[in-house]
Amino acid sequence: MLAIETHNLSKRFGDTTAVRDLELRIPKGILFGFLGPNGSGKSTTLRLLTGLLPATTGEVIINGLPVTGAAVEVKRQIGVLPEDLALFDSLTIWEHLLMVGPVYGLSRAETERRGEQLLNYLDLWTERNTYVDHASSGMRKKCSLAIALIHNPQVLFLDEPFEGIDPVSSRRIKDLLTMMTGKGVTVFLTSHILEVVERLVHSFAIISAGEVVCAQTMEETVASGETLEDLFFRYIVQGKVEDLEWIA
Amino acid sequence: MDRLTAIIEYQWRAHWRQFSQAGKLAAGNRGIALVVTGLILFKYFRLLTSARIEVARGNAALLSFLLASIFLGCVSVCLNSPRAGRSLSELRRLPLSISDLFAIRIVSTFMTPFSWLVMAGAFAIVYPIAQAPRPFAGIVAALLFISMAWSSGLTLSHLLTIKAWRRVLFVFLLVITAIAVGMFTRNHPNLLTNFSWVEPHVLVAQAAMGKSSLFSIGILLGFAALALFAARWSFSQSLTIAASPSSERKAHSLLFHFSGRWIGLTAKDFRYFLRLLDPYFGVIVSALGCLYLISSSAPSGTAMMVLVLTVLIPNAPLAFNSFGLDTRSGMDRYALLPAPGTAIIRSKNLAFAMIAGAQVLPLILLSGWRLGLLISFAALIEAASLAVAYMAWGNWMSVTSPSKMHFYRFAPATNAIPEIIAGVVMSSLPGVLILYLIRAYGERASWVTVLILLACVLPYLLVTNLSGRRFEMGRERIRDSLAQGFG
Repeated sequence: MLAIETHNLSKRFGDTTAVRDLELRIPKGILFGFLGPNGSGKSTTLRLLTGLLPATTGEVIINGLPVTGAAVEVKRQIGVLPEDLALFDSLTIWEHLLMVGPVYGLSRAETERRGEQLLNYLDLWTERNTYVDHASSGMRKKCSLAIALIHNPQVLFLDEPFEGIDPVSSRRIKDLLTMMTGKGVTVFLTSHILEVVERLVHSFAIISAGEVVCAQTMEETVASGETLEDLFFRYIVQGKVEDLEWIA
Repeated sequence: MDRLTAIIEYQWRAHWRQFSQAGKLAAGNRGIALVVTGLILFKYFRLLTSARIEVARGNAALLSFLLASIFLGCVSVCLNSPRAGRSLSELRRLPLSISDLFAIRIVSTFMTPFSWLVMAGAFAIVYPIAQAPRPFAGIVAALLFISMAWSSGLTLSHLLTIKAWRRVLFVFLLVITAIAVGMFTRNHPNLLTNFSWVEPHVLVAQAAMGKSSLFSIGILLGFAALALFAARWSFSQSLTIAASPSSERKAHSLLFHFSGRWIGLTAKDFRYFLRLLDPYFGVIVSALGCLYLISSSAPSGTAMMVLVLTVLIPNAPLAFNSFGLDTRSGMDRYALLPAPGTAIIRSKNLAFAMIAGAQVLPLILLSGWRLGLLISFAALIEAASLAVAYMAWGNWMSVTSPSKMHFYRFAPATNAIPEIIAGVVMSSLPGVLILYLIRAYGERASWVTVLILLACVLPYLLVTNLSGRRFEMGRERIRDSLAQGFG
């Protein structure tokens, strides 16, 4: 059964097409990497998949439920680490968890139990009383991740989960994601860190200028004798360092 | 200097880009707001003409009144400008000194059309002063006065970003108000006039009318220098506090400890709403009302009902623009939570009701003691009816005309002024009706007021459901509106 499905998904902002006719079929229990350079449409796609942004055309289906038609039910089943982290100013990390847990139907005691375990695991427990607007970017990201996980989602969407995270926490997050996919949770992540993605994901897609230019499994990539980096640079045009001869 | 010019130029561009993106004149009643502003200016310029005639006759009372209005206008411009600590502390990464940043801060307050109008109005005070016996002295005094008013506004604006100072200012305001009320209720208003010779607007009038002009200008010069120094000092303090890492909360809000699916959202909004300055006027009105009920030998039931009506008015921005303190990021969290729009709006309503209730409750309890249980009951029903009416109107306005509000600032005058005025009038109707019934039929009408409350609840339920659906469909638009808030 498919966990994430899209049909002709497109998003236009005025004259600009951010995502064009996206077709995704991601089975359950898969760790899927969504790669692309800045401005290629990764985050827009993630916003479309999670219902944060309405699509111009096409549809998104999560665990058999349409995102537009069954929004509340879909939201119960997904956890999201969005690009802007979706945190409230002037609330502490712990207050965020206490606020969000009951909205997902968790009792206060269960919210506290899970919250404490998550924050301990993410090495955030001692900083739980820090206001998120005063927290470091890594702490904010881990807070948003804890919120995404507290209700034990079946599908997890992560936008750049390793950016700004210390190596220890980064390792823990990787272990956690591997454990979750082993238990049938589907993880959809975007990342610029190709080495991490290469070791972590089961399959991936590369998006450029709003269109998927490559989609395959890691097994296929390994079998072809190429690395993820080789593939990435084959599809993505980069600037030349020689143009910056004035530096140093 | 070039560096400062470049930064100010780009701040100017950014501001005007936001302003031009906000729409055309027809959109969001901006045109109507312009007409209302024009009418206010028209009235002001007519008063200037009257003041000119009065000054020529040797009477400076109207001139003093206009100067006091200018002071309030200047302070409100600074209080409505973006929070200094946060936005300017981000510029600290550039090689700029505190004085450079202070210069940018001063110039940034002149970027809004509202500040231009206030400045134009302030400088127009020269027109009546020109008719005074000592016009030159008067004009110099007026310029010092405007400079002092602007610096005072800046100082207040900076101090409000510092927690300890917010408390000091609030206590100071309460004490001053209580002293003033105490003097008036004990028939000693002349005690206040004893100090009028050091009131800045009086000093300007004295300088213009030739009563110890040099002395008045000297004192005003001292005030202006002191105010500028205070503005500079408070600015550096606000930057230091904004950059300090003391960011841990010692105790969680009590509300977070309650059980309930949406109570966390309410707790969050309760904290947000407490960080808007407008409701504190409600606290002051409530405190004055309590003082009246305690000290008056024969308190009036009608006055009590009017007090309840008045307490709710400063809280209007909380009901009418309930998403105004949220950020784009926060709006995304709302979208990610498995919560229908109606639930989110109701959680905000509960926060509003708690704040308004906390202000009204002491009045109701005291009225039970001084005026009897039936009047107290009628006041309770009046407060509930008003709150429900405010929320009914406000829920719709919150999703149709959202605008950005800032912590520790007053709610800005948005382009939805007609809706706000209509909202206050319409939402006050149940209170006015209850007031009429109590006046006309006395305590016998207390039970009839329950029907008015029920009549308010029905539209509230309907509007809240509609607003919830509209919120779900138009969340992106609200998110964009909040991002376009100036500053």
